[in-house]
Amino acid sequence: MARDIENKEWLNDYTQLKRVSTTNPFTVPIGYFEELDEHIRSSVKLDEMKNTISPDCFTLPQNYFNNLSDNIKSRVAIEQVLDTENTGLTVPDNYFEELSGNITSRIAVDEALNPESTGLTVPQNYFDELSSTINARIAIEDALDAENSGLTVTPNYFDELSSKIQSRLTIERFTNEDTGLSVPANYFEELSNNIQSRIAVDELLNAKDTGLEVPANYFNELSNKIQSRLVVEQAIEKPADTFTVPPAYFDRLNAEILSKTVNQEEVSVKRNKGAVIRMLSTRSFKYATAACVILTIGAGILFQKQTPQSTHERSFLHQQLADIPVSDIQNYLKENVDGGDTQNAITSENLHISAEELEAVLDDYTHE
Amino acid sequence: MATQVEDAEILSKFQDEKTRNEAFNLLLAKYQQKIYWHIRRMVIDHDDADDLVQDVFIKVWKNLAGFRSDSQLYTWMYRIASNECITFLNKKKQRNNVSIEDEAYNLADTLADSSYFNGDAAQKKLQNAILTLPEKQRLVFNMKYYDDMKYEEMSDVLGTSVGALKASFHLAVKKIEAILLAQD
Repeated sequence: MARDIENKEWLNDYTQLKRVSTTNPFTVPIGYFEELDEHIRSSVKLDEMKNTISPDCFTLPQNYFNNLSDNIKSRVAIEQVLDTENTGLTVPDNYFEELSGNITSRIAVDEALNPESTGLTVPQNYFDELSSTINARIAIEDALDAENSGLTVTPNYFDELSSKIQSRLTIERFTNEDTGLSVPANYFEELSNNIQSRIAVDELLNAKDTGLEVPANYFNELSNKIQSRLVVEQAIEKPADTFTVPPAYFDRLNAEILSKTVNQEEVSVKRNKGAVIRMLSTRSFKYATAACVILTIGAGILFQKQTPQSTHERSFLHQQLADIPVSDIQNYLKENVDGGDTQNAITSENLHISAEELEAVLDDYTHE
Repeated sequence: MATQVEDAEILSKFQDEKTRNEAFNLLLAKYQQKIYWHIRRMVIDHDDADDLVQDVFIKVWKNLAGFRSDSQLYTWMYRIASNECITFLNKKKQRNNVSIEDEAYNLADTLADSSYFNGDAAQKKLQNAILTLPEKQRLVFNMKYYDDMKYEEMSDVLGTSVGALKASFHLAVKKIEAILLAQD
């Protein structure tokens, strides 16, 4: 292009383009350029702020990203638990609708059971007795109102009035009706005691009810057993009881012993301060000496004659009976003596025989 | 050129922290409309142009401190604006997944529907013809046809040789003439 294109002379070669106006066909909103510089400045400031606010100005908790994975997993697990349909966990119908009410009721119950939490207390069983207390108060108020009218009744009069009237009507019916039936005199006065006695008798007769049992025919045989026991007890009473002493023997014995021992000693003490008693002059020493002699002689005889008959010579009765043949004694006893005569014979002899000696005698008599 | 002096004064004030805002205000007052129209002719839609012009000046604010005075200030700003327009149009094509030709039709529809276009039928035909050019060729045509920019300055803006720009412009004009002739 030979022409100076910088001076738009080049348009002369392009007739179609040259016919088009070179003015700017584009327009802008009214006042756009007046506000454009302000918009640009605002954008620049905004961009500066955006760039000056570095990501470092935001801080994170320590180890946030290290724990982030675990936190996300926990959150997922919680979401799964909350989503009951996925976990298969169910609650009763209307559970959540009633949950609020249930919690409120539970709080009320806990507060009632634990009054310390509210700081307010009531006496024990207060609410249990509250109803009756109110009724009593109402009755008192009614009574006080009645006093104002000048007329009074006993407490609970009107509460018991209905039952009293019905009881009275029943009694009146019984007393007025002529049934033709009569009871013995004082029947009703004794009726209570009779009933109690009958109950006691029934309880005794019905022993099974008490859980205690006796052998068959126990009570039938009881009377005979008691009588037999009495006979046996009388028969085996102590032999000492069969011996007697003179009247007032033991009273005199006590006085004699005291006079010979304690009282005599007091006298001797007054006479002699040495209080020496001569043993050879006492009666006890003499008896003891005689007994020792008899024992020595008896022991010698015993060791010389070791025969069963020798034991019969230890007493007077044995010595007397030893000379009589055994057959004669047996015949005599069979004809003239029973069990009771033996005891009487011994007692009449006024002999002091011990139980062992008596058994030995009887044993000898029964043996040939 | 008087503008160069002024550009030198703007740049001087911008280097001082205290007069930086004042320098930027002078810059806006001098170049905001030129940058806007340069963008508007490329994207056609006013709102898109408004967004882009603000983006351009934000970049100017950020990078003006490092501006080397071996080139003119306004050609540097035109370069920024041109790059923003090409980036925007490329994103738009990728977003709509259309070819260059289809994007030309979309821009023509935008031009037809735009309420901020009061050109006559010939001007409308011319704009539709321009939209048929490739983007960089459109930049060359617009800068020469509307801004009456010299090839050296255009070379500074587009980083292309003056010869290549002349050839590109010649081809662009011939194509537009043919389109206008065909529609006549």
